[in-house]
Amino acid sequence: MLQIIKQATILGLVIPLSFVLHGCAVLHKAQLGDIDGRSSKNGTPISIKVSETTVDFGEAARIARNLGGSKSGANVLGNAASTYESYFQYGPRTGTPVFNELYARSVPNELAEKCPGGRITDMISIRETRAYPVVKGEIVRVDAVCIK
Amino acid sequence: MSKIKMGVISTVIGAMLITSGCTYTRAISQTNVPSERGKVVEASVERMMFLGIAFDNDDVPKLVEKLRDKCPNGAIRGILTKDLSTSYLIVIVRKTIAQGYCIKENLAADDADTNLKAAELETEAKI
Amino acid sequence: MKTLLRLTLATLAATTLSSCVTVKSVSISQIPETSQRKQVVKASATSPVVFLIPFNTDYIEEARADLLQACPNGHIEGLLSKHEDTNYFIGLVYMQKVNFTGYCLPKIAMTRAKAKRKG
Repeated sequence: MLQIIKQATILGLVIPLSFVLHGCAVLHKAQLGDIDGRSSKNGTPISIKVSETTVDFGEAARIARNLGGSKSGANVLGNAASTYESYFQYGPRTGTPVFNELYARSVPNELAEKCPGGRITDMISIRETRAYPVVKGEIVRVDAVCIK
Repeated sequence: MSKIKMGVISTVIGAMLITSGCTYTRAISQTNVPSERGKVVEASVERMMFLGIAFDNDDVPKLVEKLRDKCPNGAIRGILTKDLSTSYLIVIVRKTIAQGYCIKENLAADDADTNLKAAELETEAKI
Repeated sequence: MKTLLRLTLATLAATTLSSCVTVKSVSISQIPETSQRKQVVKASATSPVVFLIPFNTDYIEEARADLLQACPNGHIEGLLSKHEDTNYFIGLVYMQKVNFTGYCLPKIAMTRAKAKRKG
């Protein structure tokens, strides 16, 4: 009888949890930049979100070539060796391992595009795992204020 | 086998009880520190999560607004951001603390041009 | 024989990866012009974690206070902040360390720049 109750409790928890955890958000790291007193009066909020799945790998490869490339970066994209290598990475991780570490390199350019001729301040950088409407997975999110 | 199982379970529960309330540092960051270091302002956001489960991280960007409110007529520089995590058995509390120096707005506005001007002076002196 | 094997494995497990250093987080702020990168200031602080029990998180403030003392009248730019752990016993005993390294820019440069701008 006890066994049945135990199993029922476990099932009662596991099944709902598996549905619920699917929509989980995990915060890995947050970092603040300097805050400008003028931003609350004159600033326009801007926000950038990038995840590994929203990046054009061709563009990432071009960036890597321009920057001199990296050992396990765009040059071995799609290469099984990088997949194999990832299983042997040791040490603390920030979220689920990604196979292309260049996916956040476009963030400064995207921020500059959103604030042409202005100054970006009140920046907060968040590394999270979350599902937004378009962007999902391992996300780098930057919220800032643009002052012109 | 049941003795080993009991041993493992008691070790796990013991470890959870012993480390309950312990605060771990997850990440830190520090921005450029100004020379004017008079007024220190601090703000934090805290999130209590059952089994570490959360569905959004929307409280974290509010940290910027909270910090800005502490220094309404100035700018905040030299911000130290700390990400801390405390576990209480099955509840995890995630806290992000930001601490900085509130400096007057005219001084802060000068900062943006000062480094460039100082570099120009150096170049002129060399020429 | 069995006891010897168990002892060997236990010793191996305990000493494996001892003194291994892992970086937990790193950040860097805006770097000043080359001509201003004359004085490097550094500060660090440590705090042990014994059997997963940390003693405090104040070591971060201690390192920051040391950094500010190293450059009392100037401002500090190009700050590299590194948070790392050194493992001593199978992840149960480790040392947390925070390192700050930056450039101290004297206030004189600022004063001259302001005077020139006003003049």
